[in-house]
Amino acid sequence: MKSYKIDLQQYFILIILFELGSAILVGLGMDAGRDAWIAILFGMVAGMILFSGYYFLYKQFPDLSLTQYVQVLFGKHIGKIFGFCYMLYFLYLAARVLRDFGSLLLSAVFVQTPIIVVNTLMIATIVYVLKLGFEVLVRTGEIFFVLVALLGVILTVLVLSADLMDFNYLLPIFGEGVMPVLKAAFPVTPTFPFGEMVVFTMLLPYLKVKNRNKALKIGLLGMGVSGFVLSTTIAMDIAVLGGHVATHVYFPLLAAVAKINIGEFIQRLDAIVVFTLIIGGFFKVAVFLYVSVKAAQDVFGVKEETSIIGPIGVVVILSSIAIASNYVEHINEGLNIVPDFIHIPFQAVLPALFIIVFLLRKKKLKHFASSSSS
Amino acid sequence: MKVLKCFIPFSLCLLILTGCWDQNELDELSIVMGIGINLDNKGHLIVTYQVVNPTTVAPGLMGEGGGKQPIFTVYESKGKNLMEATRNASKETSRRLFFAHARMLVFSEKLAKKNIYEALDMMSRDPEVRSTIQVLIARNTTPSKILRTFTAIDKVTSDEVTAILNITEQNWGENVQQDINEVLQSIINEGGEPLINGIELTGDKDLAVTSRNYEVGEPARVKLSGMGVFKKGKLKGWLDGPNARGVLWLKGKIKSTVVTVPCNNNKKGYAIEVVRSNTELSASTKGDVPTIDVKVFPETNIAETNCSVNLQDPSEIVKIEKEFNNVIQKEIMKTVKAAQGYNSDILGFGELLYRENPKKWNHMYKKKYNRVFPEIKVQVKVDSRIRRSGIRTSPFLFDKKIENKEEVDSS
Repeated sequence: MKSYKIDLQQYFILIILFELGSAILVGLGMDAGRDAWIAILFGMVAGMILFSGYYFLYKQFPDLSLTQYVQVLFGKHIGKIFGFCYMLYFLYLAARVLRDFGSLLLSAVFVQTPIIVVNTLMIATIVYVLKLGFEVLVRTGEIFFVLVALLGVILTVLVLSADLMDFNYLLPIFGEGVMPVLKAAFPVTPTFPFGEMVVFTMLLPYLKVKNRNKALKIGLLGMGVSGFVLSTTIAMDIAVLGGHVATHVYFPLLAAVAKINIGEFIQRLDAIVVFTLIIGGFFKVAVFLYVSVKAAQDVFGVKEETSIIGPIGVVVILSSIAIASNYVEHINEGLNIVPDFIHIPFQAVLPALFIIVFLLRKKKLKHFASSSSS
Repeated sequence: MKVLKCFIPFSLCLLILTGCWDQNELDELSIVMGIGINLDNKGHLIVTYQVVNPTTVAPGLMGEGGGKQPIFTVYESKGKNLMEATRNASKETSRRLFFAHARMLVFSEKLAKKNIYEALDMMSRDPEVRSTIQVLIARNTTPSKILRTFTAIDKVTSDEVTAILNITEQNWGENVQQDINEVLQSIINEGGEPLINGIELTGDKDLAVTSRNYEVGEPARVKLSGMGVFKKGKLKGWLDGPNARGVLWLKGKIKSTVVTVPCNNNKKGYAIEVVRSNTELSASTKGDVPTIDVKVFPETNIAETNCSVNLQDPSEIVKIEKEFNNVIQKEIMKTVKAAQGYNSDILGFGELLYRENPKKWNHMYKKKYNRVFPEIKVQVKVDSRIRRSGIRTSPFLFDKKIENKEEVDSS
């Protein structure tokens, strides 16, 4: 393993870009109608609880990633099976996000372009960046973060000054009671994007040793900030577009920003949103792809990670096409099947199992941990 | 060898980076500015496209030479639905129709009376059409005629109409800009119905379609005319004049307008210019029939005085304020009566009731809103402030002690 270590600032940026990634563009928690922004906050809180669990595991094995410590917890063979499952999970998520990104780009901008072209170009860039190392991805993230933050601030100011918002669209809060909001929130919003923090079980070992104590604090702060940004963005979308339109377009943010028209001069800013979409999509797919490369490395004992980045990239391209035959099916799977049957087991059930097994075998493992680190 | 090594990847990049699929070359596009939709006798859609001629809009581009060319041209095509008609138009257009700059969508009265829903979906689904497109209804004329009318100031009719909409909303307040999203949202709102601006042709209608139109003394013009009231997607009638303005008072969308307030017996009395206005709505859902409280807070100036009063006397100002409040209150009540007459909740009351008491709305009002809406009690309270009276103090009539009353009364 190359010994590149990230500091707290990079860690924080990594979380923000990863969390906002694609989530800021697609309508999150939209089943809750005009209460969608509350559903996101619920999801955030639940996601934070999950993250505390991941942090607990990290605390026990500060030098090991998830696919490595399962091998310690369960022994080599069973551990490798778990690791393999996680590898598939990360691969699937990489493919999902890539498909999201491609489909949305296609339906909004490149209507005639085949999706495989868009996806291939994206993966080609990602593979190139990852081949140069994780360090390059993190530093790219730092540059992108400044850009995204700047664009975000500019867009918010413009929306505010264009006087587009009607806060009545957000009322009544809990109009249908709390239940529909909870239903919309669980299990979808905790798992996407907050529960996807499970990838950080693979990335936390990259933190500099002196920063390890703050991993939880900064992690929760990052999730809090991104949750707040997501929630206000969705609230803004609804206030601009109205509950119906906001929940019935694939791209609420794009539709909201398209309405900006200041003095017949500052207008048609949708290009900026597409720009953020590309940055967000790039970063999210890259993180998932990198994490699945790391998992594959641990499971199959590959020495050089660079040698498998390309092939895994190809797998992601092909599976992003193959996972669904049309966009409706893709979204439907994402909302109804994936959270229950894939996200929850991998984000909540299995980590909980790991914690329980760890607590049961604490004594034996302590011996191992001390011997391995020495 | 090294050069070759560089050259091959670069040329491979050329293969994929040219963006061949969604390229839009300017000289291969027909930029659509306005879309009109009518209905033929068989129930098919007749769609009219107003397309600009780029060489005349930006003459510097091609030089001043060349003969006189029309500024825009109009295509018309038919189809069972909007998309079919659009693609069908390619049989007569030399370039692809490009909708990103379309500024207005005009429905015919015929279509509006039958069903407006079927034409709205494509416009909100197509990624090329911007959601800022304004929706209008051609009143007493057809969309095709509106889109063919030559206008004098903004040379393209669609530009002119959207500019007019903007200006009149800010100065007069009987029309309000309604883009496609707002129309859709008002359909979806609890109990809500859309309210769509009407547009008509005035002047010499035969002249409208000739380029001579803006060279003659009395040209045909496009003119905004009332707002169409809908019920279940069908045009039921029109709100005109003060009735239409009442809607904007209710929704708090008045930016500026002028209201005539009588003084003593003089109907022409004062012209009160509203500078800004605020509206607060609240609903009480205690009984079977809800009550809605409307509070309007206009801030105004006196812009014209046709009677002999001492405007330097504060008590006189208070009197005018009271009179003004009365006028506005009546105006709003008339609008409410008209909407209740059509039994069409264009005022957003359903949404207000839902906001105020979601449970009661869902269980009581929603199902029988048809019967509830005409019964809703509305209480209007106007609390206006007159701030200034222009750059004059009292009118000259007051100084000369002329009583203007009789003259005007007799006229």
